[in-house]
Amino acid sequence: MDKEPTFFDFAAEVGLTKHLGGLGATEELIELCHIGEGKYVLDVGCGAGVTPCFIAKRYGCRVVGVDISEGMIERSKERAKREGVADRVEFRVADAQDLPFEDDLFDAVITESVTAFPEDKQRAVNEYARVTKPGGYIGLNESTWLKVPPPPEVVAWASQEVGASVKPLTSDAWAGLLEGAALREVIVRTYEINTQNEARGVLRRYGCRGMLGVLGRILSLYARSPAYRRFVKEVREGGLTPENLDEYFGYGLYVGRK
Amino acid sequence: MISDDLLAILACPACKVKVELVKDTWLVCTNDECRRKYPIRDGIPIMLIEEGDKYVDVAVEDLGTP
Repeated sequence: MDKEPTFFDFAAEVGLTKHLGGLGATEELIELCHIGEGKYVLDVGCGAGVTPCFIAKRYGCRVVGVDISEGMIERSKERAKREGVADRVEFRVADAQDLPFEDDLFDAVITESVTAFPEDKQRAVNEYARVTKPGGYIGLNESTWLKVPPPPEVVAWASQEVGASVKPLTSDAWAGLLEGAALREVIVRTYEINTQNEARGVLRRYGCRGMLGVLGRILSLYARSPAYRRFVKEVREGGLTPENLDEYFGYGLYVGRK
Repeated sequence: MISDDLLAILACPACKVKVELVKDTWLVCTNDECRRKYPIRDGIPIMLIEEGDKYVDVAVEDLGTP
């Protein structure tokens, strides 16, 4: 029998991936990593390819996107073609902890809601640093405990919202990973989350037409997959957003220089 | 089709030695000690160590369509 599908299998199927802070956070990360024309950028855990295509389109950069899921990479390739950037965006299936690139290649390596997932986060960050050119930037947007220990209802909400296997860290621990990879000029910016803004962010990231496509795929998946119907039921039973959420859970931008 | 630019920078995720394109559908690690081979399925190179492990003992000439 096949394994029970995960949160990310569903996300790949419907072509919807997101990270906290939405497009605004992406733009801020791009600025902090000095990404601009002519830069060579790696997006680790690129999901459905939204950020690589955005960077290629707006800044004219060459971008490589990697994701551990073959389904996500298929979506990414479709998107690059649709957005007319297939000539400067390439995708590979790869694990953040074992990147398939030579040393000192990229001007910037970014991740959005990705490094909170691998078992060995330091190994992943060391890999980001290895493939970055000396003087280049490594930028993370990752879910963050603003206060510890988080109460159980907040932990439950976070795993449902961001993915069941998410393991957020405190901002000190995230910064520690960058320092552990011998990065310098470390910048830390943490933010509370605002659930209304998150919904707006998804709409801005995908646009109205994009969202209609996503909704169509969600309906079709709901109609044909009993596993997805179970997942939706679990989410509905999970209840409302905890009142004290923003006190404990948020996201942070963490940037270091090689 | 995999671009020459990207092929030039691709390395084996396990040993980080260069890979070479074989039969248009495989990326084979050029390190004799490693010998991992990564399939290109539907135009997507699968550069995962566990995928490469599966074909360590398969000779290059015996590699089929992924």
